[in-house]
Amino acid sequence: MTLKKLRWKSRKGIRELDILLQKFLQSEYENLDPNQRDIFEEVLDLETYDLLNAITGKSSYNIKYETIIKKLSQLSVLTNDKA
Amino acid sequence: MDLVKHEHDVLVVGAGGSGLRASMGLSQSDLSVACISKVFPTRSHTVAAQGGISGALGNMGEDDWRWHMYDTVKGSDWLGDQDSIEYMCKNAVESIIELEHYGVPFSRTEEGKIYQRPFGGMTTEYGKGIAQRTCAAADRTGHAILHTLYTQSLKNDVDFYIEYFVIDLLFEDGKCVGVLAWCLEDGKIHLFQSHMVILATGGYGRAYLSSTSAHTCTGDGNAMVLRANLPLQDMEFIQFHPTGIYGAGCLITEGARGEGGYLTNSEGERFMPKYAPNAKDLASRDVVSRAIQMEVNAGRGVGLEKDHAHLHLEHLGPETINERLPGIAETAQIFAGVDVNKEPIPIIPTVHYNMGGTPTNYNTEVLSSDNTVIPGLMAVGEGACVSVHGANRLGSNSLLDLIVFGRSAADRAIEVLKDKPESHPNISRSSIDKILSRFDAIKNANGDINPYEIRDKMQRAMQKYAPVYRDQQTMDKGIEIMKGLFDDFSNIKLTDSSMIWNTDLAETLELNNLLYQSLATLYSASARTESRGSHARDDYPERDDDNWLKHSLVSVNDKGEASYDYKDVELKTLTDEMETVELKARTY
Ligand SMILES: Cc1cc2nc3c(=O)[nH]c(=O)nc-3n(C[C@H](O)[C@H](O)[C@H](O)COP(=O)(O)OP(=O)(O)OC[C@H]3O[C@@H](n4cnc5c(N)ncnc54)[C@H](O)[C@@H]3O)c2cc1C
Repeated sequence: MTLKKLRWKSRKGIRELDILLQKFLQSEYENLDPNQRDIFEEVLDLETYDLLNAITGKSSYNIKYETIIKKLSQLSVLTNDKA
Repeated sequence: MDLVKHEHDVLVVGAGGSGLRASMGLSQSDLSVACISKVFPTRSHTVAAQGGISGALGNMGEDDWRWHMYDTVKGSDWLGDQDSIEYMCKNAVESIIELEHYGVPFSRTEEGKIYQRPFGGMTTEYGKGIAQRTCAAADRTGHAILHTLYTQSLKNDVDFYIEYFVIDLLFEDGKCVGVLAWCLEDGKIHLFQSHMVILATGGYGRAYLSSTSAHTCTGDGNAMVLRANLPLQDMEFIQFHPTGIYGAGCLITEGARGEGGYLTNSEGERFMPKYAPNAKDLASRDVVSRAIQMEVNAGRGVGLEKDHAHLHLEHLGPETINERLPGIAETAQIFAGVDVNKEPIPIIPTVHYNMGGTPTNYNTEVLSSDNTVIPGLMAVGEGACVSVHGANRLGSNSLLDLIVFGRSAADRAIEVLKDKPESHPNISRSSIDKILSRFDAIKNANGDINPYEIRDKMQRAMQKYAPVYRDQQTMDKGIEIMKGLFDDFSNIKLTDSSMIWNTDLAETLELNNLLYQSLATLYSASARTESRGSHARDDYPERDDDNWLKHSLVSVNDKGEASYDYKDVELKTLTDEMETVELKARTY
């Protein structure tokens, strides 16, 4: 997927994920290897709250998403600019 | 440009709660129904609604739709139309039971009834007791409603066009006859013809910098209505939720205060009792938001900029927090960097809901400035103004609005289309070209200004010039600045003029839509010289029923200029089952 398409697909309907996913696309996506990029696309397909709960550590998830989910949750603490 | 053509009896634009409820209702008739959405249906903003949906089921104690109606009229600061409010509250129970039958997994009491929780402003016996009236499906009510309605609609053969961006409405001889849409996937322009278009495109929270709503909330349908030379109603009424996380905008639910959370200022003072001696921290949203703003304005804000307040949950203990307020600890940790067991959450009144929108009657038919029905066009949901929320919406009344009026739209469309024309009219090339030339001009724009710069300025301007507290000078300044940004838009530059997955283009179309609505908001707000519900003015602090018990109607032309009309609030109820809720001062 192109970055622009990924940006549209990152619209999951809630503010929390908008912030995290847009930030991720800006600062992290570039550095992923092709395999991790494919996995990121799968992560984007998760149901809205399954993804949010995975990031906040409230529920478990498929182990292959671990790298991406970890990056998302670590990046988040720093996200406190006025978005 | 070749157009891909489609014909349907009814087009629903939007697949949030309201659009899907309308689609599902229509799918049970023999009409052919299409539902168009710019995002996948279950990613519509309705997914964010966690609190619940109101209705006087009376499962937790005695309740009556009349009490619900009283609360809603009072909550609206008497600007809501009492015929529509009666319709909504009376039809609530049936509409919720229907949702249950279709498969929404509502939380239950031990006896197996739908569980109901208290919510701000919801009372029994006309303000005497506290009502438990709000039904929830765990903390995923909106999500559950979307899934259920989407599944049902698919089952009944609604044709979904997903990731299609509707650009504008098509009219022939004053009747709405379809829409033009851009398919993000195939990059083509599609012509949809229909006998009825139902707009269900949601609110425009993204006009502001600090907002609880998602990126998709750009109120596109409202801007289409303005471009069709039709007015929008009551656009000055924007609800600020008192507790959005400072900086990030993420919502901390009212439930946090319901469970004993409280607000403090920079002196550590619990200030709400000063403003609402009875309800204190649980007063209605506009009241609490104003109180926070007063504290900030008096120099008692917290933080470096002294511009926000603190919400305390530390005293509740980790068990209560985890059990009764699931997810809040995590949200505060991630988006505010705060451990709720040890420190307060920094919060600020944050834009949350648009009471105003496309004017309709309780049958959801769109109305012109002289109150006549526009043939072929209906509107539902947050983008519509029926008006049940008036000057201020009560929590959990929006989901109800979506479901009741989504259902009503389907019924009405079926009724109107009983003797539908046999074929679709010819659409003149000029109507199509007018829309396409605006689209092309934006797509190929080669001026000097980056549209994202305009978006940022617009969001900051709304934040500054249409805030919780307003006065003539700031709003007039706001109009001047917004008008400038509206003009700047004709000088934008887009670096990518491709048609496939061009997200920059989609976001620029959304920006244009937001600019129209921001202007409409500022125009209506500066004209209304009173304070009512969410519209709070320093220079006119009182409600003025003699002059302002009326709805604002504002139109914005393609130069960004306004024209105004007004219409009476409907004080008569729909039937004699309920008397008019008489005007009173609104205290909590
Ligand atoms: C954080 C949060 C929590 C909330 N909690 C509650 C609650 O507990 N109870 C309650 O009653 N209310 C709640 N609300 C309010 C409520 O969620 C919204 O008012 C409601 O969901 C709006 O629904 P809708 O059907 O009007 O539009 P939306 O759900 O916003 O859907 C709009 C639809 O229109 C489509 N669309 C828009 N523009 C276009 C276009 N140009 N082309 C094609 N398609 C388009 C979108 O794709 C989408 O499908 C909450 C709001 C927020 C922000």
